[in-house]
Amino acid sequence: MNDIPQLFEFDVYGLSKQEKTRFLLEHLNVLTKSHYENCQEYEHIINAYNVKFGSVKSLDEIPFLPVRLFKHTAIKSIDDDKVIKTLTSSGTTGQAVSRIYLDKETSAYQTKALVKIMQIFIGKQRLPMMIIDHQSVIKNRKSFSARGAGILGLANFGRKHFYALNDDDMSLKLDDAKKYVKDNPESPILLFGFTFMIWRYFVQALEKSGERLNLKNAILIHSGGWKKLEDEAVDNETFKARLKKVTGITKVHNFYGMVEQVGSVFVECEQGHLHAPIYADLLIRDAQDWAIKENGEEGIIQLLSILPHSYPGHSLMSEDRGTILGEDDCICGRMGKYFRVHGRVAMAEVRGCSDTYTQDTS
Amino acid sequence: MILFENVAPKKQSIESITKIATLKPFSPVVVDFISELSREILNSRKFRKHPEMIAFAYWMRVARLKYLHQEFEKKTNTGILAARGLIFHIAPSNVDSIFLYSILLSMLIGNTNIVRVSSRDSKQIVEILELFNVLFENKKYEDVRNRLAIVRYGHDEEVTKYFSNICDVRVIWGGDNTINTIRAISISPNATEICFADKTSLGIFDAKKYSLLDEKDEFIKRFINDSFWFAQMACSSPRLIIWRGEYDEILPAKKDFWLRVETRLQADLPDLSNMDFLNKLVFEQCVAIKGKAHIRASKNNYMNVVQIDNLKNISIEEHCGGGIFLEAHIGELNELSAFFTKRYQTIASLGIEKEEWLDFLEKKQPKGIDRIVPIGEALTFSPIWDGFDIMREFSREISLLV
Repeated sequence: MNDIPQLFEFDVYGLSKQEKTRFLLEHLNVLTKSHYENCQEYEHIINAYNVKFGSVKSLDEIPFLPVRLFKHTAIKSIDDDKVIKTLTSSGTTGQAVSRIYLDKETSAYQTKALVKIMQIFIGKQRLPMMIIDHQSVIKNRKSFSARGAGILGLANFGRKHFYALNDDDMSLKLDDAKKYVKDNPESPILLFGFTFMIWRYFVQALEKSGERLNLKNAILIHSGGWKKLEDEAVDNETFKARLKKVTGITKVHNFYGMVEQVGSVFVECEQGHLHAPIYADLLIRDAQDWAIKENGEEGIIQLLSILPHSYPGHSLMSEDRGTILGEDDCICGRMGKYFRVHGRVAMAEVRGCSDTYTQDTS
Repeated sequence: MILFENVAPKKQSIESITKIATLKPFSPVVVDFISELSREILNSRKFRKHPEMIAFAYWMRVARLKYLHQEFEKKTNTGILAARGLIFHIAPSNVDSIFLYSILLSMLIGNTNIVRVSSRDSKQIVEILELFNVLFENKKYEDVRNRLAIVRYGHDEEVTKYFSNICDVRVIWGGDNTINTIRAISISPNATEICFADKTSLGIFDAKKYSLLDEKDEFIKRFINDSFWFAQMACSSPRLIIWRGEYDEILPAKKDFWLRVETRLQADLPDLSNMDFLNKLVFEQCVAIKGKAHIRASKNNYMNVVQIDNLKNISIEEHCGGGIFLEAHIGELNELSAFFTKRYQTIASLGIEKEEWLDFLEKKQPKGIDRIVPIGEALTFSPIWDGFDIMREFSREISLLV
């Protein structure tokens, strides 16, 4: 049942609902069984729910794990000696980080999936790449921040990497950036950065300086969440409009993904919708009872992916709110579900005799 | 210079507070103040939706204060009980109003009180403090007003150090981290300290007695109050349910019990958020990972039950609240002899007689267990709390032997 390598020959957004569902169901059921047999923690969880995974007939019957579980416990379905890479999420100080264990196979699948997806939006050539961050963000390989990991992950899609921000104060290296643009006239430039970084240290920096960078053929890929921009009342439309004003960029692609399911990369199409590739899918559930929400209704995002073979990450409940807008009928022409992410689920209220002395701010 | 905000009264001189003499225990002016406070809360519309505030006010009504006075007098035969002096209270920040009880008890005993409240207090607590200020406008409460400073300040060690060094008792209401942080700040050699550390509570039900209950719905209602007030995050909220009995008694009992709880909750859903449901999902799977757990198939995520087979596997410290219960079985009470730790506070008990508990406590000398109460009383405050006789802790005995 290992036809995943063949899968990479298919069109990334080429399967319609019926075919995709059948195809995913088959693969996900195989994964449930495989993880049950190879991961004791997963086996215990499945047993606790008494799931008869042999008779799962629809995607919503596949048991799911909360993403936070990977922060609490090291969970994998392979022996220690097969682990070639361990991914970690960034955590705020004091929090545990997720640990995701990859073997050669899963790592290769995830890389391949990312390549296939990105090529749809940036083409097959490696483009000159301007990274809206500072050089040191990737320096310390031992203590990767999410930003460092994200940048390294996408760095392979570009060449002649140029870090546009100064190390000490994140200020924009405007002259160097202008020179970079001038030195690369033939091919479009690939810009990458975290959404907030782009907003604060690129768009707003250019606006403040009164200058423009001529990047009208460039492609911007960005990720990282909109929370900080929402706090400043900046939505996706505003972001794109202001960016266009100072750079001329029209090709902007946000993407949504998480370290717990690398390879599940949902990229924003020309219509502003995030799209599910053929390797992954999503369901929206009501947290009160895990019931599936209809298209157009907001709920919690559950992610499905056929890529995680080394750890039971093929069906995960995220802590993000989202809405599925439709399936197979996006104007951009790509098949599959398309959706919006609204942000994280809000923290629960503080209750009980909690530790406040150390938490109160002056 | 130490900086803090005066919450109640709005203007207060710490210097005069430290100099003023204490009052005789149960002085009429304090009793009057507290009973008026109680009446105001009971009559106000603001607190109607907050049963824990109504319970608090009810607890402080005149009849109850008379009873407390009588109990207090009994605490000595030959000596005189007097206030300790200046009590410095560090309140937790939460919706749990329990620390208010200890402040009022301290006032009743005649002490002068400095209370640090958090900047993250709930709306209800803020409104109670406002009520204090309203009452303080009445000149007849001057003696009470001059002996209280409810203050607010941030993470400022200097202020805490100052108050710690002038107090006679320092009272720290949880959690463990706060206690450790504050304990690092010294208090004077004459002062004592009471700490209310992180606690956990449970229910122990005799299966046969449950099945024989006539008024099962009343029992369920009380259980829900005990468990879902404060979203199961009070130190006395039951988080683990232990059934005692034979297997064939327990099975139908618990099936019936949880079904009734679930049904009753549907009629009046508790106020839980998306994050509460996600937290419970994480919690139930963390328990399941250890093996041999069974997660009850629930209609929805308002009530979650995880049955475990081995009490040794419990790590109840990291409970997320929000209505998730661990469940276990025992054949006999004796199986719990080594189970309890100092962290266990309240046992809400059904169907186990007082004599049986006495026998268990005397023979097994278990650690922890501060109180054993009927279901429905788990969150009811008592002047004996966490093993401390609060009124005695706030008073001192002068031996008069001439």
